Amino acid sequence: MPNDRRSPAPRRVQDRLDDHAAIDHLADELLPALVAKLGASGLGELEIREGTWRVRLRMPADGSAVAGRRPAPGRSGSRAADGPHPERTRADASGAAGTGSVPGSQGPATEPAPAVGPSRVVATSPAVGYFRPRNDLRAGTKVRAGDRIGTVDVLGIGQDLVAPGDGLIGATLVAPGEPVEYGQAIIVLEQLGEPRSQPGHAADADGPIDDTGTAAGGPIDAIGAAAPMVAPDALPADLDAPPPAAPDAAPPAGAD
Amino acid sequence: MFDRVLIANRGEIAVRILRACRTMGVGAVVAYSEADRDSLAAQLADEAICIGPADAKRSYLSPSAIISAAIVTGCDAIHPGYGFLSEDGGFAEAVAAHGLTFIGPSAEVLERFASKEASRSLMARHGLPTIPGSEGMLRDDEHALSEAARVGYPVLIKPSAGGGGKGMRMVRTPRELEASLRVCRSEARAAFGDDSLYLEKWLEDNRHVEVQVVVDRYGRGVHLGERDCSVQRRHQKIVEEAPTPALPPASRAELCDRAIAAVVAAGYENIGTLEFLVDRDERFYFIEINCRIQVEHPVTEMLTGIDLVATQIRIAAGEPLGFGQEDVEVRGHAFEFRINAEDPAHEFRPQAGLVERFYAPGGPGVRLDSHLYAGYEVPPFYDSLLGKLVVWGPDRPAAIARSKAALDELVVDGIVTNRSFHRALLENAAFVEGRVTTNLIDRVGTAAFLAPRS
Repeated sequence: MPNDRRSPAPRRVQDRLDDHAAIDHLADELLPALVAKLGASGLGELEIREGTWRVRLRMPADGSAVAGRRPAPGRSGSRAADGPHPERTRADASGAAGTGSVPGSQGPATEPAPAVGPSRVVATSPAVGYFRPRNDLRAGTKVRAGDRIGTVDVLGIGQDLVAPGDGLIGATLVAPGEPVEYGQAIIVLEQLGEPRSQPGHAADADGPIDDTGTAAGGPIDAIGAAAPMVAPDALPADLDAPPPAAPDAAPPAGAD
Repeated sequence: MFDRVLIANRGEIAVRILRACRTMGVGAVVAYSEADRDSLAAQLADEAICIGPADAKRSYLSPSAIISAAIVTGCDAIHPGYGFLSEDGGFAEAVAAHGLTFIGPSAEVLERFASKEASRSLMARHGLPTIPGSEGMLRDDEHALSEAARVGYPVLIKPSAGGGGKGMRMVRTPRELEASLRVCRSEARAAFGDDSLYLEKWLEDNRHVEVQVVVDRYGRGVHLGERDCSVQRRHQKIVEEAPTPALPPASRAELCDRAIAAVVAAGYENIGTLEFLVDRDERFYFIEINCRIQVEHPVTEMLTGIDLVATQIRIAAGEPLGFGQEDVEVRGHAFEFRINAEDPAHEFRPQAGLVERFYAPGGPGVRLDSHLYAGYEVPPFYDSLLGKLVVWGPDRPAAIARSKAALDELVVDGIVTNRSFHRALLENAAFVEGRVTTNLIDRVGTAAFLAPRS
């Protein structure tokens, strides 16, 4: 088994929790307001910068500014409460690249994956098990179709998570060591050759200052790359990055 | 008792197990294939987890996918339902090796009864009559021919593994035997991964009667009466009922008493069914044991009031049976009609597609175990069972009258079912008089049953 779970120092674990808390806060409180604002404004795109955070929302082609559905925190999906609801289930399946709930896990892994446009592909889990990322991959790392970009641990045996196409590693939707189900969206790949709306953005100086020397790591890039709109469930792809400062508009997170 | 059970099956039995868990206060997680994402069980479950693609070999038949799913969802037991891995000793062993409980007999018990031929001789040693047949497996064609000559034609070729009529064929002459052996072997290999065959003497006009048994881990066992499953088409059960109209009460009691005594003596454990053939002279012969919960278990539940799935889970959790033979009371008469997605007008061809409208019948003594709902799309990958209409009445005529009313109420639009066949069967004189034998429908032809009533 990969030993990456043991590697983060205690401070880094705390950083990670802070990241999660900040992202939760962002998704729960800040985003709905921003989405509403964007919808009301008639603008095509909205970008907010606060400290080391940058959030960009873009109106999809059909004009609906609706963020991904977010179930109540700590609940694994909403199947139990819903009863038979085929239309709903089907809508979820088509709207999300990945799958529904991952039972037994909490937080990001239980959320629907972000909508995926033509310029993105998603690596999905080949099996039921625990996700192990490849330690040397960061957001922005170039990979080719068929490359192993992680593994899913099934009863102690790793099954390869393979890049479904050429591209750049985007958001990682599942935290290392978290359970995944078959077909679950794990890593978003930004496809090469697509016009990027912000050329040079990945190397932007206003990205998070990274003491590990990784150029494009950090929560902001992960979020920015995840979806046309900010994906509330996107995780920092690089867990070694320093914690982002929460946007000023937001009260301190951590009331979860 | 278990905290959480992983339900490693689909369709109506997944819903049935879920209900048993709910009533016992046990958590349940439904494992489903990609084709069953919208299944009723997955939607009703506390949690559901996708274990693989539609191909059952990579989902419902994959031990590693199922065990991994149980581990990541925090389950401490796995219920295999029927079919798939329910009687696989290797799977039961792997489940135990990962510190989980397999809800069924132990791997060791499953291995002991894995071969039909071996369990036949084991049960014969414990006093059950068996049908004359070949000594051991058929080694080759020559061995088959000499054994068939010794037993006497007609004979039934049977695969040692599995059931459901696959790889089974009745032959009347040596020439037919030679021609059928290869077909049976390849069918058995395809269905069970094991092409061992044996022979049994074919008994004309027999009835299929089976005894439901429950044995706890401490060797205490009771029988829950018998069921008659003689209404078959191509060795597939279509309708089951209890008590059997084939035997008078004294014979039924003797059959059940001998069955439970033999199975306890042979060291069986958990829930199980001993299958017998009953001939024209009311003699019975043991043929095989099914080491699982069966499709037709609700018939027994209607007669005894005992929840068989809950009992099975309790036994697997190590609880003592908690009741004795004297506590089991069999009341009234019950039928089960298997509602299948197949078209009786076209050779019972399997159907798949969208269920546009669904209405379940009701009323006293009427129960429908089904995973259907309006808007559900029946996937083409699995068996055709859509549900089981189970009807109880104080006696057989009353149960027949209720069955007619219930079948008339059942609405499944958008997909053809075999409901019309059941409805026609209820008007058939042989059925009404309780004279149906296992080969009757194939001999008469289904068209005769479906013909408009005069």
